[in-house]
Amino acid sequence: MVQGLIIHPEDNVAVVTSTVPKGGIVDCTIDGKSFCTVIAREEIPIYHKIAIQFIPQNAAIKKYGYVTGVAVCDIAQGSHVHCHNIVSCSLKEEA
Amino acid sequence: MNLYGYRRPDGRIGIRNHVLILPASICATDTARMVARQVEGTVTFNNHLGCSQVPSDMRYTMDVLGGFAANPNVYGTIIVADGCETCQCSLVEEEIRQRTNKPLASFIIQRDGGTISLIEKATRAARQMVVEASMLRREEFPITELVLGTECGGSDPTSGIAANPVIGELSDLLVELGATAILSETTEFIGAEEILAARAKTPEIHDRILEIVSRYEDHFIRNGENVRRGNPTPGNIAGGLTTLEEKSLGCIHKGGSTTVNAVYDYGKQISPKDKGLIIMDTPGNDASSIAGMLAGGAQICVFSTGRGTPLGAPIAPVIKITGNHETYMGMSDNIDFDASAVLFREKTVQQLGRSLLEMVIETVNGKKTKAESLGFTETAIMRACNFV
Repeated sequence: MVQGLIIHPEDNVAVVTSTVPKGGIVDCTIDGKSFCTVIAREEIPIYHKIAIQFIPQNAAIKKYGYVTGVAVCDIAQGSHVHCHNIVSCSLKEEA
Repeated sequence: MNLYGYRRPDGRIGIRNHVLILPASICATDTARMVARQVEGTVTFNNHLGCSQVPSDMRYTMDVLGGFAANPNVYGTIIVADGCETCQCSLVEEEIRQRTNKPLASFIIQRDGGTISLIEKATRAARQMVVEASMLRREEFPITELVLGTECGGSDPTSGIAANPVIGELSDLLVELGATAILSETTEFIGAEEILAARAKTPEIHDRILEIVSRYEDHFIRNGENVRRGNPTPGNIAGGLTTLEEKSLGCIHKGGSTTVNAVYDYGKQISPKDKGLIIMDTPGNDASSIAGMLAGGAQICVFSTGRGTPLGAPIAPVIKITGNHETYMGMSDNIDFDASAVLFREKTVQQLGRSLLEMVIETVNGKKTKAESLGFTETAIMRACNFV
């Protein structure tokens, strides 16, 4: 099972510490303690982000407990979270 | 934990004893390199600026030229100028003299009979200066004299989770011991500036932190750009960083958790009175950010890199650290410290921070970093605008 690091309890993404294949199970931990288990909906490359819960369009992406971007579409739990589905807050305002 | 360095006539303490062959401009850079190649114990770098500059842009270049010569790791400086550049030899001398009273000599290509003649004269002067430098002995100095620069580049998500928190721990340890640590890279405060501003010692410093960030953003807006279109870089994105805010929240971990005691403009000489954590307004670009901190007087830098870089500096050791174990294994000739044990909970940030402090002290006392032993000296200088 692959590990997913949740940095802050308010985060809705985790960082995977090895590449997860589609359908792979990710054990998401906070401070080494298991928090939830998520099934990858697609391949997630090493150190990339996986959605640990459903993130609706226009909702904030939270990592380190802070807003790091905005969802440009609905993001299902277990999805790869990256440039194709989130954007910097200021670029969102420009769009 | 004793530290040994070279006491300079201006009272500062160096941890290296270089003679700097300082090119005043692009037109003198190759000549300066030819001089440096002749004399063991000298250092130089490519200065692609120094001419065709308006005053605001020239200011950054002059601060780096003057600041490099004044950096305590430099025993003395030999300026090599062409003669007609914006950064005139006499002006560079003045910049250096305002900062330090260390040995200084100058040669000008147009005055000294062209490059072959200059190389002969400058080589003799450099040889003499290196001999004088070699007579100095290291002496013990208090850690309160140490100024650490911190940098991250080629970042990936491991930088924010492992390497930068370890640098932050190092920063906290040094601050506790009475030393100075510099947090740099204003671009990578964007999205995290309020967190830093909340740690300011005074309301004035709080406002200065927010001011340098908005000033940096405005610079791009005036050029019809958004800084976020260039940052994160393609390598950051391939590594798993998506937005500038995400990168910034990882970046500021390098500053640890202590109070921000001062904010310095790019390349300005740091007062010995400013101890603890300070911020310098530098670009996210690694080479130019490091140059600004070295011009400020940092004797050593610690640089985290998730993706991996060979980067070093001509006048100071740069310790490279990564939180990405694959990068460490792939570039172990270039990277000094593997912080990936934090990711796998094999070691704590505190344990690795302590180990990194030990590596810093060994390096202070003379052990060469990988970038030093392989001769990496990449240097860049912040710009205000295009060439005229």
